[in-house]
Amino acid sequence: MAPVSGRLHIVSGKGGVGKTLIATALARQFAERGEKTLLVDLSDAGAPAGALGVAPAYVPQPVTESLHIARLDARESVKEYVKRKMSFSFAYRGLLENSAVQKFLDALPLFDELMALGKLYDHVTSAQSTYQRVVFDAPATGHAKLLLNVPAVAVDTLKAGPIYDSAGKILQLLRDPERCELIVAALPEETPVREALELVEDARERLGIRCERVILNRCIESCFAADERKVIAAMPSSSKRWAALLNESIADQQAEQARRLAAASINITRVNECTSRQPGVVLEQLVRQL
Amino acid sequence: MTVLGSVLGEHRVVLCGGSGGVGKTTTAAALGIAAADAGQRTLVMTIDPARRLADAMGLASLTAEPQQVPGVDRLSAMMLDAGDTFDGLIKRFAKSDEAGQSILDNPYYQQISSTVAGSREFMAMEKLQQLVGDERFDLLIVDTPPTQNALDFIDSPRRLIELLDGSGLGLIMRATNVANRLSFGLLGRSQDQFARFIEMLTGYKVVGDLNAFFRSFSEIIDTFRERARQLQATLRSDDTAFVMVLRPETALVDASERYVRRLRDEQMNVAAVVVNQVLQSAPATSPGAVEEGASNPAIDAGLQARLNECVERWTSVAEADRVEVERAQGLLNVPAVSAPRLTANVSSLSDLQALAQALLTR
Repeated sequence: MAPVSGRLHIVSGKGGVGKTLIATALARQFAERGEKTLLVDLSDAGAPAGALGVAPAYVPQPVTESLHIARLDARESVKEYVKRKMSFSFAYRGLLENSAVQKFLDALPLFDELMALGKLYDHVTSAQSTYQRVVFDAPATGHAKLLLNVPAVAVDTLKAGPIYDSAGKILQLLRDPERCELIVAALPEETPVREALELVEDARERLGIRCERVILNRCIESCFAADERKVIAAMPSSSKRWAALLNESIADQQAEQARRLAAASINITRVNECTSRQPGVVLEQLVRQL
Repeated sequence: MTVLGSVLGEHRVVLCGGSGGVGKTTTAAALGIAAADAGQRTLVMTIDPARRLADAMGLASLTAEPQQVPGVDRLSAMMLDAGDTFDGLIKRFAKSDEAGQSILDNPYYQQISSTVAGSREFMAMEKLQQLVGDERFDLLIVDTPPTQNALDFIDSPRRLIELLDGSGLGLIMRATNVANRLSFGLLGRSQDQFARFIEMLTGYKVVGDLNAFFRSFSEIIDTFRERARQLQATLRSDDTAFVMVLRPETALVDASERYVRRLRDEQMNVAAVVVNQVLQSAPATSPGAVEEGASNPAIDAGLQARLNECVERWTSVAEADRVEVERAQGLLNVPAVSAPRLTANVSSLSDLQALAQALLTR
C-alpha cells in the first residue's frame, strides 16, 4: 500500500490570541467533515486547553473516531528514532540511557526540535499514518519562526548524515504548498496584527511556507448605523448609551486593524467575540464560525 | 502611598513580566512617567516597542542608548534589544580576535546561535546588568522579553552556560581519554561506540567540530559564568521587584499563577499585579433621565433590541472582568491594581500620563 500523504495545517500567532482553541476548532471541523484528523501540540505548550476533554499523549489518543490528539515530545522521538535506525545493534540501545549521552543530546537544541518535527512529519506522511489532516498547534510567533526554520538551518550547516536527511524531508513537506500551510491566528488589535503581518511575510519570504489565511479572533461587529449612532450619542447617560458607544468605538478600532491585514492580500476569517469564557463554549462558537 | 507608588519608590529595578499582548510595554512606560513625576530619575528599558509607543513618548525612535523623553523631566527611555547579537557577545568576551573568530566559524556554534531560544533574553539581561550600576538613574523599569516561555529571561543564563559548558561532551571526552590511556580492548570499543552513536544520531563529527568548539569556548566560559551569576544576583536582590502584568482572561490569570510560582521558587520578589483593560461596569443612569424607550421617537423596536443586546453583552464582560481581577489577586496573593479598558490606542504622551494617573491612584 502506498503511504498516505496527509496535509499539514500549522497554526501560529501571537501568544494569547486563542491559538490553541482555533487549532482545536479547525481539527474538529475537518473531523466533522469525515476526514481522519490529528491535532498535535508541543510538550512544552503549557496547560492544555482541555476543551476536548482528552489529555494529549505522545501516542495519538482518540477523541472521536475521526479526531485524534497527540503531543510531540523530543525525548520520546529520540528513543523511537534510535530503535528504528539502530535496531541491528542492541549495543547502542543502552547508550541512550547513558547520562553523558543524555546531557549531550540536551545540549543540542536543534536536535530536539528536529526530533519533534520529525515526528510531526511521520504523522503527516508515513506508511503507518492514516491521517488526512494534521493540525499543528505551533508555538507563538517568535518561537514558531525559530522552530520552523530549524530544518533549513540543519540542511545548511550539516551537509550530510541522518539528521541532514530527515531535515531535508521535513523541509520538503513544509515548502510544498499542496501539502502544508501556515494559518496565522490574530486579534484585531495593533500588536497581534503587526506580529501576524510579520509572520506572514517571514513564512512567504524566508521560510517558504504557504501562508494565505489569517483567523481574526474575538471580533466585535458594529451594531448601529451612522444616524443611529448620533441618536445614541445624544441620549442622556445610561447603561444603554454606555454599552452602545463602547461597542461602536471598539468595532471602529478593530475595523482599522482589519484593514491593515487586508492590505497585505491575506484571506481573513472573522470570528466574533464570545461572551463566555468557558473553553468548551468558546470552542463550539469557533467551530460554527470558521 | 498606593500599591504601585511604594513599588516604584522602594526599588532600584522594577521588571514588568507577563505573557505577550497584555500591555507590558505600555505599563512600563506609564510606570516610568509616574516615577519620574514623583522625583526619581528613571530609565524605561523596553524591547522592540510598537512604533506608536516611541511616538507617544515623542521620540523618533528608541535607540540602544538612553534618551531623555521630551516633556517629562527625569525620564529616559531606551530599547533593550537593538539587534545586538550573540556574535557580539562572543567577540566581546573572547580573549583574542582569532579565538572569537574560531568560535564564530564553527558549524556547531552557528547552529546554536541561530536556533537557541534564550540568547536574545540573555542579551537583554546583560544590558540591564550594565545599567544597574549607572549613577545617572535612580530607577530602572524593564519590560521583560516577550517569549513563549515567559521565564526564559531567568533561565537563559543558566541554559546557555549548560549548553556552552558542554558538560555532556566533557564526560564523553573524559571517557575517551581514559580509554586511550588504558588502550584496553573493552573500553576502547565503548569509546568508539560513543563516537559512532553520536555521529549516527546527529551527523556531527565528535572529535572534529564539537571538540574544536568546546576547546575554544572553554576559554571564555568563565566570563559567561560570572556574568550569569551577577544577573541572578541582581534579579534576586531586595532592590528588585516584579510587577506581573495581565489582562482579565481566565487563561492569562492561570498562566500568571504558574509564572509567579516560578518566580518565587527562584527567590524573586513579586510586588504587585497590574490588570490591564478591565472594563468598568456601566455608569449610573443620569439623575432624572428616563431610560430611553418608547418616549423617544428616534428609537424604534429594532434599535431598542440592539441596545439591549449591547447592554447585556458589555455588562457580562464587565462582570467577567471583575471576577478575573479578584481571582488574580487571590491566586497570586499580591495586591492587584486594575487599569481601565481603553477604547483607543495609547498614542500620545497625555494618554500615557492618564494611564499613569489611573495606575497610581489605585
